[in-house]
Amino acid sequence: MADVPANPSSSTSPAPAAPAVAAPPPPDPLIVAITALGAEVLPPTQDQLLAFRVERDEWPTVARALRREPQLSFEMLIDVAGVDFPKRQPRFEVVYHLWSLTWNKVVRIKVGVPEEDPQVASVVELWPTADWHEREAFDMVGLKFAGHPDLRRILMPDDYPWHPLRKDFPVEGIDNSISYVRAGGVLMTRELDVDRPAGQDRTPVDLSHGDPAGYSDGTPTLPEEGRA
Amino acid sequence: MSTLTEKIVTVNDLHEERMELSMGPQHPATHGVLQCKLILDGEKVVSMDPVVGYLHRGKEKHAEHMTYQQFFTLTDRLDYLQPLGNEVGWALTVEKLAGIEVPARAQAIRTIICEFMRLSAHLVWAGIGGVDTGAVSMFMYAFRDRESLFDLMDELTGLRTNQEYLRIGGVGADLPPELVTRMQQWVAQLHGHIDEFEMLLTGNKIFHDRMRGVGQVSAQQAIDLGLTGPCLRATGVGVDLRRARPYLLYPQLEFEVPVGTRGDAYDRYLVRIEEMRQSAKMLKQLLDGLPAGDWIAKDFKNVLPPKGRVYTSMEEMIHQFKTVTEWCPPKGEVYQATEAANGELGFYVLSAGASHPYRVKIRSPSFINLQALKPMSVGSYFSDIVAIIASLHFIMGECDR
Amino acid sequence: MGVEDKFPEVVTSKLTDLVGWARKNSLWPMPLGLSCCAIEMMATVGPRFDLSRFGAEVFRFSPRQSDVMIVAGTLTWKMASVARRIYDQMPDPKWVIAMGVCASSGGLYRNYAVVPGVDRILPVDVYTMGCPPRPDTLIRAVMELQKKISELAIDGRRPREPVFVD
Repeated sequence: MADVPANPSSSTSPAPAAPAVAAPPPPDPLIVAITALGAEVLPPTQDQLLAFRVERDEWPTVARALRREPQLSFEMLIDVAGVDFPKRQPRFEVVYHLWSLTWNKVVRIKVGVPEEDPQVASVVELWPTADWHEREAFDMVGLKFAGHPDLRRILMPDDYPWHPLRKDFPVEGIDNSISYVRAGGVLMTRELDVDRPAGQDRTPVDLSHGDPAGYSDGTPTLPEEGRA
Repeated sequence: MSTLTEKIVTVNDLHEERMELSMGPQHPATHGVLQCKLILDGEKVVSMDPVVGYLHRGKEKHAEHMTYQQFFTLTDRLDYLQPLGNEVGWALTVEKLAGIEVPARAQAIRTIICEFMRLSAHLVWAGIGGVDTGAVSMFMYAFRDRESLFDLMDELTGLRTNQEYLRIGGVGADLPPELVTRMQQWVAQLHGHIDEFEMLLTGNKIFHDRMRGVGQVSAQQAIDLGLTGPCLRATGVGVDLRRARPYLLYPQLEFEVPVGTRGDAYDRYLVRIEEMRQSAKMLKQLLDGLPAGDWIAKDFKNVLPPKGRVYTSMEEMIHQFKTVTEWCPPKGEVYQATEAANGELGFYVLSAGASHPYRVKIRSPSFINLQALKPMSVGSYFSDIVAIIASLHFIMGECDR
Repeated sequence: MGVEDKFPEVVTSKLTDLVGWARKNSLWPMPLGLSCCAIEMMATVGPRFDLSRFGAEVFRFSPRQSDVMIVAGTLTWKMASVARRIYDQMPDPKWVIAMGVCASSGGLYRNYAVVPGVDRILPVDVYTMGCPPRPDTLIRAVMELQKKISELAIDGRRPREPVFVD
């Protein structure tokens, strides 16, 4: 870790008159290095993973540094998740989990993506495993990845018109037999005795505590004490 | 006078057409509903496109409409060869999110069933891997052991498979001492049975010819492709989440992580066989040293009370009611990964403080390992695809979620 | 007094009974193994439960050579057209066993991707319950199907009355 810039706060200045106070622990060199790239540190959540927010425009440079810089060297991309916050700006968020086998550390990177232009740079050249991850994020949430060689649906049929994991898509679907009928199939009509839509299978008490569709401020907080 | 020009036609001119073949989605060798769109030049694979999604059951969408305890039913059916292993992953995630402490005996029981589930998955892999390469009697040997394993699971949980035995905060029922004895006896005779499997396959020339050198990846390629689990360890990268990011009782157990050298199908086979032996070793340590105590946390504001008390005590009944209908973990997000039989199974949960999750993303090892199918198969023979699919051992339930 | 008394080595029967006996004891399944139920189906063919006792050992994954299609697992809409095509490729007489709750009614998946019961696209003869059903249940389903087959006319025409096995 020779190239990490020295953090000015790591030097402690003696205060002879004040009572002895424990010096703050030196900051994690990874945090220092990643914030130097322009990422914003997020407060830790319950899993104590290092978490950062990166602006969409800076994501290509940050990603390249995370992969190529020897003091960072996050060799493995574990996961790419697309999340939909319909009440927030930007509406979508891509959450990357990266694993550095060298330092055995996992970090979480969040990139906000607006609804008007749901595009973010693809990281397929840096981590080839992102190929299917990004296809799934496109399929489920509708995020487009610029630079992806073959961005098409992966879990739903190729011509499926909707993105199921968006919050405005109902869990029981909109027109489910669409792919079957389009393939030339004919549905047998059989009246089911009980044909409840899926939404009625929920637990009877739906306590969302004021914010059912998203965080009001967008920042996850540490566990609150007591039960809701 | 003939002015006809003669064209000499050779055999090479006849074989110009490439054949497009769709292998699957219904196919005995594809381990579930996977479609491989192949372009073949005779028997050689020129290009292929694996198509998944034929078993996409919308679990992540369902999770947003279910409580955390209800989601155990869906996690069971992810990698359906090791249902309780998936449940452990989900339980650890939710307990980390809510800050619930799990007692030592419950952790030990969970570790025991994790290793039983790893054995269950590897036994099916051994059986089906044998069938795919032609050794059909391997299937019967592997399923004989699996049936006796199911007997143990049946007695512990009530079901052979898809057991839904875990609760947030512990497990659903205790492990009685006579069942511990039977488990120890089962584990003791497992080594001899694994020797039988090896006798059938490891030295078998046909199996060796079908698997050695097939589907080879280098360590760097494996990391780039995001492979985890036995597929990664067969290339020489000795990364195992039970050691790298430990959970449950793994830090206290003595076991070795088998690592291959060449990263081909035969090495993946050897790694899994050795993992079965290491699982048996771990089970012996766990069953011999099972701690006494509670099998579920007594944190009744967050955890379901034992069912017997629910039917007899008013306080527990109220706790049960409130936990089932109203329990909400705090706001936050957690990514928790476990070493499933196929690799790193991770759950990313985003909680908005409601009774159901805001977003659940399942990091599925089979989904990622399947990406390696294309680089492994292009350039090899058509019959090698079957061996590669068998050695990668993805489960479509986990891949498509 | 009849032929059977005069010639003890002769057996007489109705042709429908004979054909039904032959058909029901040589049911060759076409396993449409989709998800978890497929594993229990494999266990049914396995050493403990041994479906081959009932003549149904020949799991040849080709529809052209099979009699009964066992839909084992969750059918999704993406897979539905494939399942129907495979059913259409089976020669008559053919039957369908819906194994498990996912095939019978969609199971615990009531969402955009899952077909709520394989009988939306295929005519089902025997429904089984369970998630997954025990191999014993699948064997019972095969036995119920055998009972149905023994009552058929030779050309396979019969009223389509499904049987429910639990």
